Amino acid sequence: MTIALTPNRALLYARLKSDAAGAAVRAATGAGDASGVIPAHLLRKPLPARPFVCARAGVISGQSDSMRGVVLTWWVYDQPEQGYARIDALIDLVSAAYPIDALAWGETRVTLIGQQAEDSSLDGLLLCPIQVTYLRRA
Amino acid sequence: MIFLPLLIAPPTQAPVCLVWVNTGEPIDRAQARVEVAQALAFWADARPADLPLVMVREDSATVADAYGSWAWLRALARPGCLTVAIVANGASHRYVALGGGVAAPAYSWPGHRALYASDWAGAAYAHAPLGAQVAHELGHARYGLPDCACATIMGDYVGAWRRWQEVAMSTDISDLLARLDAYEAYALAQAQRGAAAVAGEAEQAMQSTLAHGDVTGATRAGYRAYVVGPGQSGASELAGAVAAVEALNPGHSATSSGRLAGDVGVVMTCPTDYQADLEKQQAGLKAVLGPTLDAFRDELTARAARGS
Repeated sequence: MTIALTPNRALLYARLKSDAAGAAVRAATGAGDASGVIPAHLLRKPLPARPFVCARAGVISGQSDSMRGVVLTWWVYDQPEQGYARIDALIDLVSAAYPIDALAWGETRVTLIGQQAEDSSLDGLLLCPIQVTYLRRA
Repeated sequence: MIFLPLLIAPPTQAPVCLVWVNTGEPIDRAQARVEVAQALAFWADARPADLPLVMVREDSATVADAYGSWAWLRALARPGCLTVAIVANGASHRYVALGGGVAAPAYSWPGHRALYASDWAGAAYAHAPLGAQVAHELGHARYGLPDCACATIMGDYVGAWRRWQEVAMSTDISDLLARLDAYEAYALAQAQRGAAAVAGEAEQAMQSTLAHGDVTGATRAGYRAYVVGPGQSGASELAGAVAAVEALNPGHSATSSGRLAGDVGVVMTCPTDYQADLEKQQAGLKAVLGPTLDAFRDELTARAARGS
């Protein structure tokens, strides 16, 4: 039986956008609901109420007969005057939404919490990325 | 009437007598005693609940023809004592070890139990030490084990004896340490070689990225992926990248320093003063270094481990 790998990108995204596991994340966004969780191609003005989280899917590394990782990076944004407190709180909530058995047939892990930074292209919004990886032989 | 209780103390050991036969032949008694003691220790370890075998006596005897007849064994046997006779009889039979036992009737005498072993008995264990033969015979004599089991015992004993020898030899481990150092250097060199092959592929992928435009060409020209480790500081590769950036976009090169966490690593970089923005703006829309690392890290690790 072949189990497709690419749909797991959408499943990783839905985890925060609509699944019960992501309810705490949605509630902690400025919008307080699913509109505070957006995909990267919708990252344009008007932006969601801050803070918000934005997902960009990464490469699927590895050869077809080996363990392969499906990478999704959540970029957590907030207003500069808020500092990083709400971003850090959201980072923790995002981490909690991805236990190792979050998705079937493989293991899900938080593989990176990136450096705090500013996005000069978005009026200096503060940001911090958190990367989750779904690992499965496929 | 007074009854005096008769107290009989239980035995606390199983006595063993050692007899040197035909001492006119050259024999290293000190070494032989060590090996017999090792055989006794072998059984003490194997059967810790049993009475310990203890050497209680040594005798000497002369036998005109030790291989012509076994009758002389009777004269050497001591009641209540396992007798181990060490016979030196020239090159054809280096030793014969005699014990007491019940498992080989052909060589068993009522009351004093006698068995023998010689070099040929240990043919399956070439150069088996005397102690192995004694341990083997004790397996018959004390526990009535069949010969196959006693052969196993001899093998076990030889293994233990070799370990004892290794321990004795390991007192000087300078040679071992030198070899480990050499192996470490070899392994690291191979890891560097394996990582370098993948680093080259990653560098080519970055230099042909479509994730962002490149007005001057400096960004793509500045992407580098190179190995650092013993003998490879990466200084020349970084200097080359800086030179490439400066040639195409003067005044926009930038570098920073980092610390290598392990012994061998791969640096992926682009020494411009705007690369950090490319990596993070618009949720990493134009990022190259991060996605390239995601794409190649498994292969990098595997090839470094494989060393090719």
